[in-house]
Amino acid sequence: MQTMTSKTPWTGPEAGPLPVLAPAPAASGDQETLKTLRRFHLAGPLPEPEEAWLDMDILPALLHPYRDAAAVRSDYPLALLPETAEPAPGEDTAGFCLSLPDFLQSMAARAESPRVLAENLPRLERQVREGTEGTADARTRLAEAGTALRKTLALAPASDGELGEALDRLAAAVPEGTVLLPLTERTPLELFHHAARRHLRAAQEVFRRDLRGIAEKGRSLLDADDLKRPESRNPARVQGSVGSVGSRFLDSSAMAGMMGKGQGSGPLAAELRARLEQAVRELEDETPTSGSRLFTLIHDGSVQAGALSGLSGWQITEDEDPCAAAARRFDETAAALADTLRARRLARLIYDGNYDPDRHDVWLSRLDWRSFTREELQLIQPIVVLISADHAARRGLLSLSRLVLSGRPVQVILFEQPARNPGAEAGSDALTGFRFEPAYLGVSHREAWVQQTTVARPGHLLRGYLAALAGARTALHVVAHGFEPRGGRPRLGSWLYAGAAVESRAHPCFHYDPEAGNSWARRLDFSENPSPEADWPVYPLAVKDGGAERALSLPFTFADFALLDPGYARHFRLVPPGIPDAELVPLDRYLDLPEETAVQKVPVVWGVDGRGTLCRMALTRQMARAAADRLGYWRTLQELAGLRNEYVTEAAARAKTEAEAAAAARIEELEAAHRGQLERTERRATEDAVNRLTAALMEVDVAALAEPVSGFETLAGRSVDDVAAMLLRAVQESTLTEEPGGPTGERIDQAAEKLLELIDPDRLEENAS
Amino acid sequence: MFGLGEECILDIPDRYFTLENYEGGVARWCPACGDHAVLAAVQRICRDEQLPPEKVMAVSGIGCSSRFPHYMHAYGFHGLHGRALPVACGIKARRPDLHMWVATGDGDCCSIGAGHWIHAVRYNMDMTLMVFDNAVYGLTKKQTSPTSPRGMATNTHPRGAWLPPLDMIQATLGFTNASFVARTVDWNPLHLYQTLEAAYHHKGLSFVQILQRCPTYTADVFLEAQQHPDRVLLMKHENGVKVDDAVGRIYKNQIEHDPANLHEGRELAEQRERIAIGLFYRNPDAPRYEDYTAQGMEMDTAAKLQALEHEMDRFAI
Repeated sequence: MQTMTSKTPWTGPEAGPLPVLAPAPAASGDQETLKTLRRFHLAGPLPEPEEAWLDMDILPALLHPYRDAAAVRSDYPLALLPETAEPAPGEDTAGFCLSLPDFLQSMAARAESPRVLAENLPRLERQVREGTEGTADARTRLAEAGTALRKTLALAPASDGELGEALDRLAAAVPEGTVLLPLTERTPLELFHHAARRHLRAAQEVFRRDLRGIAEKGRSLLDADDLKRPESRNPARVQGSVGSVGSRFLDSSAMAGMMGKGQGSGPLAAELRARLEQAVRELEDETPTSGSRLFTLIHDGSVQAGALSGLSGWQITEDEDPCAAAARRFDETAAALADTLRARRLARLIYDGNYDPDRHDVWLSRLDWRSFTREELQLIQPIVVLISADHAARRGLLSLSRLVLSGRPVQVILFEQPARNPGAEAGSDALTGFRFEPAYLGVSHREAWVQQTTVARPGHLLRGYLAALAGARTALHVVAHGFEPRGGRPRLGSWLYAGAAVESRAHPCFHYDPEAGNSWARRLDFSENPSPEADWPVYPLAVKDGGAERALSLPFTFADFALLDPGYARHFRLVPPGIPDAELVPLDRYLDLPEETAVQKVPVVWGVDGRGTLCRMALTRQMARAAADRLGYWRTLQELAGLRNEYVTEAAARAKTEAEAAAAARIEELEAAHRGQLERTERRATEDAVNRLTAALMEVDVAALAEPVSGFETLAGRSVDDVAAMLLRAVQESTLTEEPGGPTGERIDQAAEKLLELIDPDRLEENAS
Repeated sequence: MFGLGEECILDIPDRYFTLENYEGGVARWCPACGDHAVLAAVQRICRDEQLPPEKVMAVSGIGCSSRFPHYMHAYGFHGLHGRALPVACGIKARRPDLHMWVATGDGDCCSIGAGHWIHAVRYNMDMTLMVFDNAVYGLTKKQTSPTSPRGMATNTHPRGAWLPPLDMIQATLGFTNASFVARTVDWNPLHLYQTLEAAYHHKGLSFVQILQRCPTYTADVFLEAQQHPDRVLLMKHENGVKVDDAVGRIYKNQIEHDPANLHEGRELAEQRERIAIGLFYRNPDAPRYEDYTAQGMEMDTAAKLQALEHEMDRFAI
């Protein structure tokens, strides 16, 4: 049995078996098998998957540790906290949507949990996760999970009591109204609803306050206008103004007679007053939320009806052209809001004294959603289009494009299957041809807010929703929800499947915000992807090879992801152990080979079967091409995100070359200057030495020498110049045997010796010449 | 791991253990006996490491200390006087998966059990050897033990113990293949816990001398060290026993000692100016005998028979 230490993090099964590399048989290099594999690669997929292959339950090697789905710890169910009073659109999702582990940690910290609960939070988390099938109240669910946990642990009474109290405090710390949201087909919609409700509430609160303020101002203006009218100058009105106390001191009749004699501004014109009254009435009666509080969802019928039933807070309709229907619905809703906004603008103009009928009436009559401010647009109850990638690729393409180009702030949620090609012809293999990319299509419309995201990254998804809601244009959300069409569940569960799609570049995540700036660098956020600078993310995998443990570094490619889809089983064929590696190339390297080399190789990926044995699988050419297509799209996105921009690379190389050349030239220049300086210095030193030696020798009194130096007397009669020349020659000859820069004194000594040599009587005439 | 992160796998054992899971019988040691502190520390370590009780083994000889297995809710063996270590080594030889705690005393280990002590240290099998050193034979009512201080009056030496006491740390440091030698005191529960925790995590035989108060027979032996912390020298190092701030505040005399330095460890053991506590020596690479004795354990019966037949075939005529 495994042991767990409280000090170690919750990690994978240390004692679990590592995948094992199958030993190669003694007789290896089976040429016939290699030929079969090559034929398989070139000829195309098998009519049916190999039965033996299906029985082996092969998973991508890197996903083998996740084979036990019960041990996988996902973010779900998410904890959706209730709306707060002042939510800010676009703020970080922390605080109103938490992953389950973070939620429990946060609540435990609030409840100051004792050790017995802190150490059992992961068990509680597992209980919550296992028992949550639909959206549930968090407090209730926690209480149920806590009871189950206590029953499972069966602790001693004292500890059990302590745990029970701690669980009660934990449940009490959860804010009222918090719900737990598991991962289902409609999770993206539920999350959108939660984000939009929060966002809308904030905007509506602000607008309602503003409306009240304007209405009050309008009402006060009307009241002031009343006082300027003749009918307000009657004694009864005056008496009413001053009250019973004032009436004892003032004569209301006399006052009524005097009023109006020296008045300032006159009353409002009748028509203007009428319009103001109408506007104020509208403002006082109309609220932006007096209509339906439901969000509108128009879908194309691709989602299972059961998946949408039970969705609260939505008015759901099905339409065969949901984009066009959404546009119409938006126009209707905007028109209704326009009446309120018109009244608001009019009241404000009149109150501010800026109203000019000739100028403003036309403008007000034409007020529609295109004239709304950003804040006003966000008052419109969200209208969501829900379509499939297939719909977008086929009959819905034109409508989608029109909607996106219209700029109407409608949210389009597009459910995508990353392993499939929505643009493929009906009945054809999904790997045939290049893939239709709905998100790329959205980006190509330039001015739409686009995100490609996944339920495996709920934070990324939510941030995208909030940013889109805060914008003022059409938003396209391409979401991989991890479910097969018609509600099926993929192998390893939806969360892992959706995450694998991101890892394999089948479904890269990004946000494209046209309002962020004019450059791609500002608009495109690419940061959510693993290893964004590389072609494929690479991870270590510990394996057992002949009893010893070693680590393989494996990329996670599109083919690895496709292994999870039973529909692609025909594109894989098991490679028996013993086939030489030279012929079988890992897919990531295969895709970089020149074509003339690639045709001679067979691409492979690693998998692990149900018994834990590592095996290689050969791929069909279609699968390899599909992987290449994915890689090509990924590289395009990299370039747009500035990560792999050839222009930048070339410019950097040019700048480097220029800098190196400039540096080399400068070095050359400095070296030449140094050489010149050195020569000049040597010459000066030599001349200086000679002059000093000459002067010294000239002062020597030969006659005073105890032992006259032979040859000195031969200098008699020689001119100073002759002697200096001879000295110079002596010094120069001496420097030839000495290192440059040697001590001047030594050189003088050497020069003196040399001079004596030169003035040797036997060699004097020869040396002087 | 795959890019989803290591925290994405949650392999949780179904069972969770609290202190009650390791509590056996009510401890009948004298009130204020240091043995209580040792028992509590070991139970805490088992709880912190979440050791299944059925995987914990407590082995003892004879003496007050050797009541230890009775008070642990785990498997236990209360053996003969001086024979705790051979029993422990025997168990470990074929059950290297068990977490072994050996409770012995100054008499049980260093007198009658001395022969086993030497070789158990040399065998270096993975276990924690706790020597409850109260400087007397307590269970049998105050006879002189190998560690009784000179001049201490006992029933066997009414005029005071005549010989200088055995220094078990110095002795152990001289044994071949010693891999973990430490000393702690029972009256500082934090240091006691941290020393035993370090001993538990060490792979090999962890020799821990615990200066243990005996309120009944040797109440004064460690009194000065208890009342004057400056009589204690606290050894500390990043590879030694972790020194908590609280412990550091009590014992101001501290020394940085690398437990890999055997020579320095011996010097510290030899000095008599202060009582050094902490880790004297540690060698994580010392060979362990159970790596040899446990060979072939993974073989099933058929494989063993096959191996035997293969060997016998060599003698076939």
